[in-house]
Amino acid sequence: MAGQWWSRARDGQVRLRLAGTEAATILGLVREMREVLDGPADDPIMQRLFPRAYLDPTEDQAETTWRALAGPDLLRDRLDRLDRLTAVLEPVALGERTEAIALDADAEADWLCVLNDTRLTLGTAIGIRDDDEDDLDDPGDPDEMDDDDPQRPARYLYQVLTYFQGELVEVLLGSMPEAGLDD
Amino acid sequence: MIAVTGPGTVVEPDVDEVPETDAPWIVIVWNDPVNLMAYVVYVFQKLFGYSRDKATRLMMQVHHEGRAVVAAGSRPECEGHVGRLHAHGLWATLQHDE
Repeated sequence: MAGQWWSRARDGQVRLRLAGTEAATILGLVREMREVLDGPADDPIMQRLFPRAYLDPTEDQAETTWRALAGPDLLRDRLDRLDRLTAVLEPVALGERTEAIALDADAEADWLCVLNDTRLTLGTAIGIRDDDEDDLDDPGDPDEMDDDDPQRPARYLYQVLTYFQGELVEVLLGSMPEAGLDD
Repeated sequence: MIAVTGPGTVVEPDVDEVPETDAPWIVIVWNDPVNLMAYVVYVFQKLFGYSRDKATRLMMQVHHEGRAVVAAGSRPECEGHVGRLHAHGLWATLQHDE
């Protein structure tokens, strides 16, 4: 299975082919992501990345306890993933590395989670509200937006990221067994 | 959720899909407009070991009904599930099963 960016080689490893300019774009998103994670917890993007575990307000004590226990690890894991991707992306962005990048299982998870976080971040920032095409308030497809619409570049970036992540997911699903728990 | 694959991959939702258990806590995943449908299927398979069919049914239930119960267990077990789902960017909560 081979796509524009992602493929699974005969040795079983996932490979990523990325142009220098593409790596630079993703590096920019990774840096923005880090700024969000270093920023205030009441930011809407932070609230999307670290939502409540308990909806019920009578469980506020459990929520506080859970957040104190799980919160630091969830944040640390996100920062560590950004660090590892930065180390991989910088030589590609600088043109020092042009061959395909081979990913082990941990690197697969890094890419998958970071790409999803960047889409959640961008999607929250540009106000993606509905996946249904009949939502008239949602500008949706950047091709249908005015040329001078200030949101258009971000919409394009979001769309490309969607294809980029979607291709990785297809590669990963392609080698995941269909059988499993089913009751 | 949105699909990046073309039509033809749609599976009808199984609306009565609820894990059979008498455990007192349940984990709910809520619909959101960003997460890819195939990504949600992948995460359900990876985290819970569900079959492709079951993961797809649960994903479609989230997509069409706005939420689905994806796991059940003790409170600590469900808190662990919620943390792993949050780490993958899914909007998940736990609550007492009433």
